[in-house]
Amino acid sequence: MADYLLIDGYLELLRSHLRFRSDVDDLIAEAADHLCSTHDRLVFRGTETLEAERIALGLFGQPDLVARAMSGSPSGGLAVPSDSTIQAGSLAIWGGVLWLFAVVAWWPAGAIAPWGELDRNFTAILWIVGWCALMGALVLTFNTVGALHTRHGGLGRIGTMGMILTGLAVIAGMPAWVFLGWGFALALGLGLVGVAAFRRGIAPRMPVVTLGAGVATGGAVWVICSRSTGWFPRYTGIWGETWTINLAAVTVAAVVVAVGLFGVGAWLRGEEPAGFDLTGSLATTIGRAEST
Amino acid sequence: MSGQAMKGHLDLLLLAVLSDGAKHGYAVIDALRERSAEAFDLPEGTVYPALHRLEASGMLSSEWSEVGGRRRKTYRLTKKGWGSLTVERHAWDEFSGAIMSVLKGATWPTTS
Repeated sequence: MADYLLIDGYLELLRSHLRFRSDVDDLIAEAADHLCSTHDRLVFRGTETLEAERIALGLFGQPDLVARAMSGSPSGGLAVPSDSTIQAGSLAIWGGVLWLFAVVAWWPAGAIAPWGELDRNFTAILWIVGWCALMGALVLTFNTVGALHTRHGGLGRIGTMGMILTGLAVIAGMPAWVFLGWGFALALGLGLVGVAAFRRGIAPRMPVVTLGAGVATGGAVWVICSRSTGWFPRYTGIWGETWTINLAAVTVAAVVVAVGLFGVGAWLRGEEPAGFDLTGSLATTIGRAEST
Repeated sequence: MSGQAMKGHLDLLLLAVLSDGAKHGYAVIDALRERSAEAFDLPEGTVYPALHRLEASGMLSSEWSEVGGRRRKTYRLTKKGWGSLTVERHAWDEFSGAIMSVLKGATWPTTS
């Protein structure tokens, strides 16, 4: 909030006290609304703006006192980096690599093999390698979703639904030809997780958006290309007429998801594990969490 | 009145203020101050944890909206909150009535 010099500083201080609560954004938003309402009312009555900020902050209370009081109220969970979330960060990066690797393996097979220019055995090997890479990528993507959930101290109802859908999609993706809806479930699951993580605002938002929207973007590409009237090349042989469309959609989805996994992974991996500073509000919160 | 004196009564006061209808935190605290003729002197920021506690225990429900570019959380009494308010108000009436009965019969000490 650019117009509130002192209030902004106060809120930053309060945020630093409450940074390990999963609901920190909601707490800060509520405090900001209160302080700005007090300020605006005072200014309306003729108080000078800086003085109005001082009075508003004085009435609200010292940040450490308020943070201590807020630390005692229930929260969804601790939003702390840990050794497991840091390790999950490295695995997320490997997940991104596997998404790309699957596509790289499939491109020669998918783009050339239908026209019979590749050895059949070599094509089969490429398919198997690509499929294995994709399965690994799906598992590591789900692991990253779990790490996001843990790191945010829970992602709420929407995020949990997204996690469950993603998990089911990963399981169904193994024998994908039986469960045709797995791609849709994966797109929806990752999308819901992305929305929940975006709203919590702890993870950097751009990678969260790309991770959440990657598979859906691939789906959108599929829809657009399949409705094209001639400008997108189609294969009409034994591999099915949507084959080239499938390949384009999977490529777009894989690249966008991989970018998201790289971003989220780099963020998770770059954090310091909590536990190095068990003082103040964190100690209070952890003590409360452990006692329940 | 000090925060210590209010301790233990804050939940009842917040429920009573919200019995008029849904309010956001600032309005709750403002109503609390006005109705008590500014007698209640608490750091405003420490009232929010009590609202959160009441919400977590199911006495209050809340919803977020956007007002003037700011996110605003509005609280309202739930059925459980209404029930609790009724019970607590009755208990308070009995308690304060008993205290008044005792005080009316007491001889006040002189200060000189």
